[in-house]
This record gives sequence, C-alpha cells and structure tokens, in this order.
Amino acid sequence: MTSNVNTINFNGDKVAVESDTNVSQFLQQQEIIDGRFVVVLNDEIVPKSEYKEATVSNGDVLEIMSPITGG
Amino acid sequence: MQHASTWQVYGQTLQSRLFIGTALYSSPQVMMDAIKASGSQVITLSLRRQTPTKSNSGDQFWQLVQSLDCHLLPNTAGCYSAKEAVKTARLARELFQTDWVKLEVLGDSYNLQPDPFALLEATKTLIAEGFKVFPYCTDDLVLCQKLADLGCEVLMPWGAPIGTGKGLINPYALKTLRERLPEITLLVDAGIGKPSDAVQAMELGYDGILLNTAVAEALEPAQMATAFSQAINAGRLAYEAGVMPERQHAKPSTPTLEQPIWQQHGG
Repeated sequence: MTSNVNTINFNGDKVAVESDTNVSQFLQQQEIIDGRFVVVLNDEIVPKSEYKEATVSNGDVLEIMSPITGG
Repeated sequence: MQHASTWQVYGQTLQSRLFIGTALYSSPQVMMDAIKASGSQVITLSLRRQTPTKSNSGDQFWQLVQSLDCHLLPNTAGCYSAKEAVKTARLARELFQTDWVKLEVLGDSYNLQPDPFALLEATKTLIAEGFKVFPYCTDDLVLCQKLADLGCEVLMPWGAPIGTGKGLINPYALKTLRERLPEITLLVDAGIGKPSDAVQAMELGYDGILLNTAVAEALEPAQMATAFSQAINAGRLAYEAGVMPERQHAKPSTPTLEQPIWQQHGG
C-alpha cells in the first residue's frame, strides 16, 4: 500500500504533506500570509499564477524567499 | 541650501547622491527615520529564506520599504561564486520586480573582498539576461575597465572593506578610476566611516556614495544620515565648482601692491 503522505524539505525543515497538494494549498496549510515573497520549488521559481498547478512531491525542496534588510 | 546637479543612473534621474542600506539598525523605526533623514532615493536590501507568518511579524519590513517610495537595489550579499550570485539575482528580480542588482561575489571571508574573476563571470551572464548591474568591486583599474566593457554603466569600487569605516584606503586608485573611466558612473561602496570620507570621494569626482554601517551604527543614525547627505552634497558642489590646484609654495591672498612703506619688505 502506498502512503498518502509525502515528506518535503520546506525552508530547511522536514514537513509532511498529503499527496497531490499544490503550492497554493501548502501555503495555506503553513499559515503563510499573503505578502511579498517568491516560491522556489526544486531550484525553480514558481510564478504566483502557477501556484495551483504546481504540486509538491515526496523529496521536493520548497523554499520561500522574502525581503530582508541589506547593505 | 544649494543642491548639486541631478544625475542619471541606468536611465533614472536622481537628485540625492547617497544610496543607503537598510541593515544593522536597532529597530525598524530607527531605520525609517535614518533613511528619511538621508534623503536617499535608492535603498539597498536583500533576500533570504524566510517564512512570512502572522506569528513572526510577516512582511513588516516590506511594508515599511514600500512606504519609502525609493528605488530598490537588491544585493547578492553572501554569495561566493558566480553561480550563486546569478541565482540570487534572478530571485531578486522576481521578488523585487526590478532589473537593478548590486552584484556582490565575495572571494575572501576575512575582508569580504570581491572575487574579480567570479564578478566578471556573473556580470556577463546577468547583463545578457537584461539586468542593470551595479558591481561591488575592488578599485583595480583593469577589472573596472573589463566590467565597463561588459556593459556596466555603473561601478561601485570599495573605499575599504565592508563595515570597517576606514575611509578611502587607496585614494590614488580611486582617482585613477575617475580619470580613466570618465563616462562611467562611479560610487564608492563600502568602507566609508565618516562624512569627511564621503566628501573626499565626491571631491575626486565620484558620482555618489553607498553606505550603511556608518549611519546604522552611529549613536544618532538619523542625525548622521543628515550629516552624510549634506557632506555628499558639499563634496559634489565642490567638484562641480572646480577645486583649486595644489601649490608647493605659499602665495599671498591679500594684494601686495601699494602697501604702506613700513610694510614693504625689500630684499
């Protein structure tokens, strides 16, 4: 029997997600507020318009890049 | 107060010649007060892996940045290879919706010296992708010539290593860059500690100054930002006014003709 739960690497932490979860759903599950950030899935930028099409799979690396201070 | 002339940076007309960083301030309010006091129209910022949630104040920094209505100059700080820097620049373009990038590719972790070879490699790639590159570089003439040849309209040589506040360690090299690259917009980036350092660079003919630590680590950052703003303006005004040439020998400023007889020192 195959598991319905996948494990992904999210901003450096292991996180369990259900199969076929898309990026939009994942962001909601993580209580990420709507704001200025970029989603990077396996080193590729995911445009906002593709959040619902892009699904996360077992072993994926998903990162959220946000503005920070800098000199 | 008289202001120095406006200037162009990659097609944008600016009044202020001070680019200011957003890091190292003791609080967001202190940062805001300092940036406003500086009169800067360009601020530097960066990007990192960070999860914006309600419990970690979300994107408060971004909200503050937006309220400043400044041009954004994202950096690639912390990158030690061309590949990392290019990747960071692409993310920055997506995140900040700008083609401008302060390109940092470091070669040494002790003095945070730029890696000239990786810098050239990354610059070439990014310019081909349409970026407007502001390379943070050393004051090496040949490196700067090659960056200009690649299409950089702006170069940002260091005055001294980042965060040291040592001022202009090698004024000769900086002066040479100004003389040899008259068409390039030059800013001194890094190492500025005091307003007098900024004045020195501006009197050499530099077009602007990029700094962060000198303001952020002042006891009164907003007041120091004002001091830098005025110093940079003064330095530029002086450059445009034309600084007198140095002389080896003294020359009286008061006319010596028709002096009374008892003041005439014959010899």
